[in-house]
Amino acid sequence: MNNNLKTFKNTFSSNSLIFSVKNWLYHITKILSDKKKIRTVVLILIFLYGISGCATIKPIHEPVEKKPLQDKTEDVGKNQDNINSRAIASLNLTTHGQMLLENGRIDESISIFERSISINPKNGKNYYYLAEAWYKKGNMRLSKEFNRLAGIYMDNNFFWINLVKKQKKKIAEKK
Amino acid sequence: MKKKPQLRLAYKLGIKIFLLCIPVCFLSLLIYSIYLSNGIESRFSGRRWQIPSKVYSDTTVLYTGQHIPKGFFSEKLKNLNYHEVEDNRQFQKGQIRTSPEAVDIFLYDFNFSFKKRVGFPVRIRLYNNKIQSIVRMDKKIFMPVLELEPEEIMQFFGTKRERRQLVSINKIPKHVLFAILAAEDKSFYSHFGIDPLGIIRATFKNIAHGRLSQGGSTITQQLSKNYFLTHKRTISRKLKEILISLIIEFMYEKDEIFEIYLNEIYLGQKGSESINGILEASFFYFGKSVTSLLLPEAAAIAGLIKAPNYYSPYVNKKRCKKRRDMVIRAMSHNGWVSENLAKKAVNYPVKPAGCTVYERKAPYFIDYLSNQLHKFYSPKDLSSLGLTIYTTLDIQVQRAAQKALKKGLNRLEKENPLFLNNKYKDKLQGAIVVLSPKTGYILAMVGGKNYGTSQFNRITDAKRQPGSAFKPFVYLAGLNKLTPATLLSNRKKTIIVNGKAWSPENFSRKYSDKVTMRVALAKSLNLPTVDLAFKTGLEKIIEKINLFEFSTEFKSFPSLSLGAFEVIPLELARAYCVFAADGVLPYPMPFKNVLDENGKIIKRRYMDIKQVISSAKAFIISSMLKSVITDGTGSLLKKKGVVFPVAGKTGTSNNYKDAWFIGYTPDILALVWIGFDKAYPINATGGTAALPIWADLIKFIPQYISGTWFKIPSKVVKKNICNLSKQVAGKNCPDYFEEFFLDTNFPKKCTVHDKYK
Repeated sequence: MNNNLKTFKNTFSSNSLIFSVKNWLYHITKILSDKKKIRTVVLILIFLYGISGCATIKPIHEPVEKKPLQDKTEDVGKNQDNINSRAIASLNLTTHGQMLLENGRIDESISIFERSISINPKNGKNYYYLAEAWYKKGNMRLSKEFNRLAGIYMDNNFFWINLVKKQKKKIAEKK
Repeated sequence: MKKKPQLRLAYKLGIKIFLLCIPVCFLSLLIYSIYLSNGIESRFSGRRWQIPSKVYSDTTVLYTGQHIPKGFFSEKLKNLNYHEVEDNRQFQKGQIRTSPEAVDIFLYDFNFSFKKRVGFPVRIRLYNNKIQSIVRMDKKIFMPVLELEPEEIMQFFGTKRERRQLVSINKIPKHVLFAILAAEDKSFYSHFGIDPLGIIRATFKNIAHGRLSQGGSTITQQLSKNYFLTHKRTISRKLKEILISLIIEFMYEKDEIFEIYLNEIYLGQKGSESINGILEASFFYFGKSVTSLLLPEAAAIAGLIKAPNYYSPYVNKKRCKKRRDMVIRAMSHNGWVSENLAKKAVNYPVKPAGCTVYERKAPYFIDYLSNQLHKFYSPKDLSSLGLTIYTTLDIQVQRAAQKALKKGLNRLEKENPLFLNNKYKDKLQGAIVVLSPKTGYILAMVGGKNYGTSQFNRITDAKRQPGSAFKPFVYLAGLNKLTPATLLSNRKKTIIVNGKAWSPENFSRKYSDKVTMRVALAKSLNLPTVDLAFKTGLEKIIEKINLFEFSTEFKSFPSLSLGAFEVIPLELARAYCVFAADGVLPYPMPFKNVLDENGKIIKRRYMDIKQVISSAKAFIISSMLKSVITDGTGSLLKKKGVVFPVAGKTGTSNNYKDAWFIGYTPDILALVWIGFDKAYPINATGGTAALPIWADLIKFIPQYISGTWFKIPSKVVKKNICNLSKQVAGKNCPDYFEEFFLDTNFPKKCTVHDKYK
């Protein structure tokens, strides 16, 4: 056991890194000494160059002179930092609300989810749990509305979209 | 000798009558006492005071990474009654310490039905106007989210305008009780309602002065005086007062009487409102609860009772200190406080907390709120039941809106000196409403320039022509058949409506052949809009608009498409929420909870939503309204420093009578209206008059800006569109641009460049 640990540590120590570089150099010189292998290496290099060229080749059509109006979606996501902190704060509240909901404190949970939405309206879980809360309170109209919103915001999450679909079915049955 | 028996008879009769008189007198006194005691009991056992209902703002949520405007903490915490301290030793509830990089707050307890928070110290580190971390100092843990308690906006006062908070005698510290006893009634716990010695002393002094001035009243007498009788100084009143005092003493325990007294006494004046009760007074004078009053502070308040406005520390600190020291000496004289402590207390300076100047924080909003509340509670209930109303208002947003509007109106008046001219018998007005589009919370409402001069709420009660600000609803109706890339005619033409010729014009008087729907909306062109209205059908448009629940009755006139029908600004703002909230129409909410005086929730309001259009259509309209800002009539916004994505629409009604700007992001929506009540022209457009105000407002509240854009719904597709044919671009199309479409409605493949294939 001890021995194993030592070798493990060695492979990741700085000494072994230099050693592995030496090892690589050794392999490369070995390949270069073989003509057949040189040919394949050169072919691979040409292929790689070709691919990289594709990316920088200018499109045939020059960009339009007079730019027609369009929605520039690139604007989005500049404030990544800000978005994340909001998302985290909102999720924190969601978890708190979820706990209250599971303990049967429905009214309290609803106000927490609402607050969470006002911090981050894109947090789909809030809508899911609000649908759940209103389901428990017997208001199928609101439950359905929130379930739909949950569907909009979680359509890229396989796990959640299944839950949302199940919830939708459940609401439809009760309605 | 004969007369003697007669005399004796008379004498006997006299005695008999006298003897009869005594029980009769006693009986009548007894009956009168019972009558009085009934009155006393009904007053004491029932609702003793009219407690005004209080209105609070929403809580403020803080989280790490949040943008905080400059000066936010100093202003917010001051309004929440926190006080700056310097020394590090004693950090207590309600105190703050600020340094350039951090704010330490010792939070107050916060009781709100299910939310019970015992105050704790937190350190909020700031960097570049952003919250870097929130650390709970006692437990040394990071907090992702912190809620600051709500701010009091106003109270619903009755005719008496009394401020009062109730406190139980068990919660009042001994030294506070002793201070009051020392100042007012030293032998309260030993006398029986009146203090004969005190009365004799007072009587002598009154005789010496020749008038009734000295009271000599016990606490019980003061209570009966305050509670039941007028303030006239007559002998009969004095006798009645004594009788009532005796009855009160007979009926109630000393502690009960003292408690009522402590909650009853008048202790000063804050503007037009009176400060009543020891708890309200301790907040008013020293910014803390009665439970944490120090000895000199307690003595100062006790000293006030005699003449609150004369001895007030806000009026004259020296006078207050003199009176306070008298109370402290009396306490020490009675042995209620050690001499050492008394000496220390006497040396302690008089330091009142600083009273916050009363200002109307959101008067138009309060009017709207009371109208909503009157559906459930009468004005009398609101001024007496001591309810607590938690609203959706965000004070920071409200202040930002007021500030922005004031600045904007001043600028417009400066640019147009005519507005101040006598020719205009009206002042230029403006109004703003800010909503959280997803939840429908009303974050701010300014219904006019100056509530003092005009209480008319232009957000909730005015009906104005929206002009171009109405176009998005017309374009929405067009989306069934047309797309943002559809070409519309931009040629002048005359239409015959009901036998009359109608020839609409573009605002710029510039015309071209054809423009796309996106360009037409972005540049707010009238002719293509009319073209679109005819292509869609006016009936179809009305059908769509009615989904937005305007109270206006729309008729199928072609001018409908140019916003000729008057709408209520709040309803217009609410309708725009649909675009910002995935097609969901929210219910505008001014309040969330109403609590009774025991803190129990008696009325709740939750966000209520209703889907009226698909999220895909809402996204496409938002996308087109973004072009208004990037390339259209709202392009001034960028120059004003708003660089994050915003969707918005300007509006200018006929003859420049109204200027509008409605702008939104996924997080917040605000509507700005400018105009005269009497509809004089303001000679400015929505883009130049209303938009800069919107920009100012939004820059004041960076905490609401996430800088994100709407998520593209699954039923929206993005296509490359040939610049020439405005159809989906093929391989041979030289120019193309991107456009969003409903997945059920997009153009065919380009027939111009691909036709030879």
